Amino acid sequence: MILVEIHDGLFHEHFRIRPTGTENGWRVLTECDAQPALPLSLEALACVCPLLREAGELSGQNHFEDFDALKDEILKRAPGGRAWNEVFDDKSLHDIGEVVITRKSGKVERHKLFQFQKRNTLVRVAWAYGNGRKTMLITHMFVKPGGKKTTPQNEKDRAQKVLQKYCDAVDTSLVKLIDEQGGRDGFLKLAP
Amino acid sequence: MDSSNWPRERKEQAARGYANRQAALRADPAYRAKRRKAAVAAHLAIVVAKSDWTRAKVAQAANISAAQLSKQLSGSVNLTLDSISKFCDAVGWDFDVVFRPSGQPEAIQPWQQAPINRATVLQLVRAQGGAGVAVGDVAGALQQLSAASESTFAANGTYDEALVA
Repeated sequence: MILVEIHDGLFHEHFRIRPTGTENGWRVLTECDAQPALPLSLEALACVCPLLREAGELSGQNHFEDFDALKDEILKRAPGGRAWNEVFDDKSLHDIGEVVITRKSGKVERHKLFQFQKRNTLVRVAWAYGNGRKTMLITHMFVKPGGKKTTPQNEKDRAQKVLQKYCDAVDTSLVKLIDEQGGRDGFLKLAP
Repeated sequence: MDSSNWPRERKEQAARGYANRQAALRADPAYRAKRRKAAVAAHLAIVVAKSDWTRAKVAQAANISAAQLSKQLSGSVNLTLDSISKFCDAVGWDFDVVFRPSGQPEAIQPWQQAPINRATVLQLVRAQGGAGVAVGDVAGALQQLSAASESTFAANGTYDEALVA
């Protein structure tokens, strides 16, 4: 499984692939389905990163703006390294239930799923804790159907699938960051 | 919207859409103002969290309600310099307003600075000629490190990992 560390620099006016100043902060990871093409740019990265390319297809400017603002809020608060519920209020951060993961050893684990939301908008980002120190795996983003109070089951299923894939990759040592962020060594550094 | 099975062309189109829409948003002065407002609120939320005071206690010290504090830290309302001052005073922090040319990296907050650790000092001692190095030499080397990493940061927008590892 190939991952990318999402940080402020990727969305900066001058694209920066390596994160800075995250020594004590949260490291935010998400899945890539291939290595990004060179030369690296936000567009090249978004092409292989489901989280970003799906946001690229959000209908209407408002949804895209909401996603961008929500992502900014997460990335601005991540370097503080505090528990997320200390820096987000309970209107913006929700526990949306548990998913069951089976490790390669046969051990069954239950993981909590959370989602961030931006005020009353419908764009949500689902996430789960990854292995390692202050590592957060963003499984995907989605637009919550209007008028529904609960998170749709298919979105929880998708989060479970991504988390299961992540755990399988960790258990078989087949997980790494994109090459430009250190590949396997980069991953081991942040999530040993 | 699971995009894993999309054909390559659609993925490329969506990625181009992402980059273009972000660029358009960032060029919009109203949105830039919103981002600045949200960034200040996010930093303030970290400061409040780092104080280890409960939000209720901070709100009380700043003489506002807990709900108002929560709203202000969410970035959804305009924070005034007066209210930032109140929060900072309540938790024993202070703040500066740092200006920079557009496109330059943002100022580093205290919680984003890489700590000077044992490995860094050892590296500095080695760089200064190995064993028998006086404390003053290490202090000098630390100053050099700071200057070197700052100049790398100014030039590339990133710290040289060899210097800050």
